[in-house]
Amino acid sequence: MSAAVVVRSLTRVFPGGGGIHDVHLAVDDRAVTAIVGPNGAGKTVLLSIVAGLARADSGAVELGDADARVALCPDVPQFEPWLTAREVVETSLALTGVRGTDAARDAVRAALASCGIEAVAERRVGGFSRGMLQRLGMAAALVADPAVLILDEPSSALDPIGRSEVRDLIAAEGRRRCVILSSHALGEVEQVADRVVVLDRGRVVADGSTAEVLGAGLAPEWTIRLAGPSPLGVVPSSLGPRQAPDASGVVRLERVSDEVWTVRFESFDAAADGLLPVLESLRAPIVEVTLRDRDLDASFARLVRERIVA
Amino acid sequence: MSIALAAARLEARRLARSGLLAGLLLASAFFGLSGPALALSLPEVLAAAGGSDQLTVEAAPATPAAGIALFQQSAMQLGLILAVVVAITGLSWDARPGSSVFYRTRVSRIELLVLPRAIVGWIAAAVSHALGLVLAALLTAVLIGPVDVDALVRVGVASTGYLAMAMALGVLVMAATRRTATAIAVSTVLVLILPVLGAVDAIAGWSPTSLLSAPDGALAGPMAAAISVAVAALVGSAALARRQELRRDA
Repeated sequence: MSAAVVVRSLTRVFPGGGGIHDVHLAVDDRAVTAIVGPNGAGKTVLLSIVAGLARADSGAVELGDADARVALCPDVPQFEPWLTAREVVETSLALTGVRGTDAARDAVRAALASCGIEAVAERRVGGFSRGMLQRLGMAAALVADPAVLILDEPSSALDPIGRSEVRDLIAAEGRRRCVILSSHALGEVEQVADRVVVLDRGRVVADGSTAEVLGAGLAPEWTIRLAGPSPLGVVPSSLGPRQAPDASGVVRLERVSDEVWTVRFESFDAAADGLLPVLESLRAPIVEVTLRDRDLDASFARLVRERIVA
Repeated sequence: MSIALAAARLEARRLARSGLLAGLLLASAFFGLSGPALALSLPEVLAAAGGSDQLTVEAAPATPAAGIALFQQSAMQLGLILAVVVAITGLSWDARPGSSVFYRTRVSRIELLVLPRAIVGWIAAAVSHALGLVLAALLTAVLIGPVDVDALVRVGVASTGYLAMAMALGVLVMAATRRTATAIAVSTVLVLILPVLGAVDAIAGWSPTSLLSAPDGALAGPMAAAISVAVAALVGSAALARRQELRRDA
């Protein structure tokens, strides 16, 4: 997969101490890359520099195609309130130099429809809700057919149906162009992102496929729910809490109640070999086995926590 | 449609739909009607206000030149401030991060957005002023007497040049401050102070403010100065806008 955006050693430090430090990044074309991080991590600064809206103190942003168009949708898009939604999208296209041809009119119509605002196309945007403005912002960005589409919290003001629609739209756009997504809704990021970059205090602390970041530093722990009490009764010393993993990789087997147990392994590789023997050792019908903390929220919290400790 | 034309169309829509164009036209029309009417009734007004046993105030009979002068006085004070507000708010999109992102990521060169909008605003102000001037001339002709057409044209040309300069300075202040209220305040003070320059003999012949005070004098020098200042201010505005980043404090 080719890189649509390459960020090299990008640094921008503000007088108050915020900013980004020595950020390296290669963002794939035709994929959704999510930039996540706590407030003040430097996400907006990074995205602004990539979009050409801010300068870096040092480092460089290189686009796969030097003439590539970059569109950024802020979390709170603002438009001149006396324009209608259709005029906003038409203006967006016209300002990129596209003439008012039939193809252009079709592009405007398609952009409005894909973002679910065709029904309000003739309404002035002054009365739009924040959610509608977010949809309009996406339509105004998509109509210009950008090579790089940057979405900053694109669904923060949408209702659940709207979030689902926007999620589908992002996933579809990720197959056509480079989509960079910044969001605090990590559950959604997990569903649409091909790759996740975690920023903290201006530095990249994790960068990999969504699966890699989800598993990064995770000592997997399962909750085992039984249909009845295990005859095991107490945790055998061979499987109980210990500092180092035993030969099977189990680092902790813990009895929460008669029917609920937890088992923790050093790694997923160790779990692949050790989980089934542990389940067999409980000698009781199993209702469910659930992996704990394997979502982006937990991974993100874990990564940031580890960095604070370090 | 070229980018500059799209920007010009956008500004025309803004002026039409926000009520600014209507405001400009109404204000100019009011000044155009009130100037000659005031000139005609001034002797009676002064006589009624200032008459006593000890003091008699007399005003000369109204002249066509006085009718135009009273229009020009209002149009180039209140009307000028309104025109400068039109110019400043033409750049207010850059004061809000959400709209600044929208426009700045659309155009490859920001001057293609800044300059056409400023020019459309100036055209609207110039047309409004011309309309007011024509109304003033017509009413003056009906109420007072025939107007010297040459003088009328000189007033129109001089005012158009001065409007261009004042509005371009407003755009420059807005580009520098990126705060609408601050830009309006600074520009209003500037517009009110500038005419003082015309009172300095050494520079009066070239000062753009001579366009307001001496319509009978030579126009070429002050007009050249006004256009030079306007062009420099617009070029400076575009350069400033190009160098600026997205506002983080808005």
